[in-house]
Amino acid sequence: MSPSGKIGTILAIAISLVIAGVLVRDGRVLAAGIPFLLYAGIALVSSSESKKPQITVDRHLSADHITEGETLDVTVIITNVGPSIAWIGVAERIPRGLVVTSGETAHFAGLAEDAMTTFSYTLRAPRGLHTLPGADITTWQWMTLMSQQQFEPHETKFLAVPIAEPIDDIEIRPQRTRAYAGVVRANRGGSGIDFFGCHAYTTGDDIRRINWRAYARTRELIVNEYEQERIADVTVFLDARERANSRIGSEKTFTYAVRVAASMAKYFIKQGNSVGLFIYGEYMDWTFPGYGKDQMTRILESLARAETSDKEVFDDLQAIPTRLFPPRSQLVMVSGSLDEHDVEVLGVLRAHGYRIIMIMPDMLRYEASEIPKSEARDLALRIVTLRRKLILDALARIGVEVVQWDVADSLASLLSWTLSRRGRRLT
Amino acid sequence: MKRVTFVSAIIATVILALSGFCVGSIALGCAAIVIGAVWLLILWKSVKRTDLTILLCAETAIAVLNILYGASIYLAGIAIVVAIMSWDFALTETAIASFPAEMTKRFTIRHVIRIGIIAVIGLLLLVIPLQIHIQIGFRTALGLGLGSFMLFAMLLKLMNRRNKGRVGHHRAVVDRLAMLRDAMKKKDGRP
Repeated sequence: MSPSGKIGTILAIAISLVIAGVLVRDGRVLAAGIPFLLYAGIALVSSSESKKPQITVDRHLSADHITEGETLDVTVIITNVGPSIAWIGVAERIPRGLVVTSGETAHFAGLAEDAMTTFSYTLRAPRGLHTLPGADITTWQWMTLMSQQQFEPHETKFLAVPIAEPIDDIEIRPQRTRAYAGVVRANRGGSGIDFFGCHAYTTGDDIRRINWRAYARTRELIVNEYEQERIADVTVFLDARERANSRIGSEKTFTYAVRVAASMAKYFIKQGNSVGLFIYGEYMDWTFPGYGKDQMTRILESLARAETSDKEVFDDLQAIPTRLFPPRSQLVMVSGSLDEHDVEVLGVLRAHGYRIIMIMPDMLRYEASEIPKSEARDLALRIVTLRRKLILDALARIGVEVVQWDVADSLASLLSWTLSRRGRRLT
Repeated sequence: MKRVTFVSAIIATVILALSGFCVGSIALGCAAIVIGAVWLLILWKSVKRTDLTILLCAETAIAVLNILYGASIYLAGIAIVVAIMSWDFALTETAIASFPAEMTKRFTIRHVIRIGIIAVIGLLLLVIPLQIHIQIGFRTALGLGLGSFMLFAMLLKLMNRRNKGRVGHHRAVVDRLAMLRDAMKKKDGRP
């Protein structure tokens, strides 16, 4: 209740009692109004004393970027730039989703003129861009009868970027690579480590590469060729369509999809490749390809802000602007689920010469464990599994490499094995 | 604070109900109990505390009716004072609810003491006029009442003006200090 409302109420009761006392001509009823009048009088004097507090709120964060699930220390500094305040209460407004793990988000004390007080707390934040909006300030003067409440806006933003798991070894074979040396096999003879082929000796060839066994057989100088290793263009494509990402309780496939995208981007950037990010859902969020740590930060920031969307325009993958992706480059697509139309679009991309790795976070086992066991559940599970298998087979037929990731398993070990050269050879 | 609020609400209800039953009105006694129960329920469930204002009005009305039915003015006065206390405690408790209890402990104690002092003064002011019997006419009484009301209003106005002056003076001092600091930074003496 506001101070004026409080005084008004009490004063109204007091006046009513006085009027009633005069009407019934009873001094006792008039006397009953005295406590109300006294309270209202003191409250009025108290409220005339209390002025709008002149407070400044400053907030310091231990970092402006954290990884999701990590904690962040927040220190709030309150300075009184006006006359002294008998009692002041400052309560931070904590947005939904943020969890306070330690410390207090509120402070209550007296504050002398030009005095300063601080309090700190620790937050745990999920992935996303978070804003701490400000603090609610309540002040009381020495009588403690009337309080003044105000909101002090002071926005502080910070990003909680997704976890990027360390992946050991992934082999990609895009049709086109860049001119600079890297670790991606370029399907072209030259200097390298892996044997690529032989050709007749020509002037200028390194004599250390002459294949002496072939010479012994043919009496002709033949030189070994090795496969060149270069950097490649990699585009990480994150499917943020609502229908492609299922939600089971508080768990979302999209959370895992974002984690996969971050892990893959981190791996390819670490290998020295040019990596871009494309988020397809709310709008076409395109992070232009680049190299190095700055590019990784840009990608993580985009992924931190990524949300699912059910926009009709992006309902199927037809609207993918292929001109954005470097021609015949490597695409790493992350999607919760696909349908027949999406497979067609991927077929077109393959026909354009793109190499595609499709990683699909799979929550089917988790979802099934959440539903009580019944015949209907088993039947539904079977239908969904069969449908998924059909889609995966169709993808395999058009030459898309598919990795199904059961979210209960480790992502790093799965990718490091399935997409490694050795893993591919054995599976 | 919660305990004090509950205790004061119970005391107010018991006194009102007892005085109602004492004057032979079961309806007034029962009404006091019902209002008290609703009051306690609001406090317990922590629902919208502004509803307590309506209950305060109702309790006052029952107290006045008790007086008119012949109950002791002192008992009714105590009930009214304690009801105001409970109402104030409930609203203050809501205002400090978002702060840690250990931080607000000192504030709570001071607030309870101050409200207690106001309650005692209020009771004294209620009792003293009933003990002193002065015969004055209605017009004189009305004139005195209006005069004291105007005096109080003037006093408030004066206090407001004084406070505005004080804040203005404070702001001027701060501005001057800031100008001086800027001039020192520029080192040319000009503000």
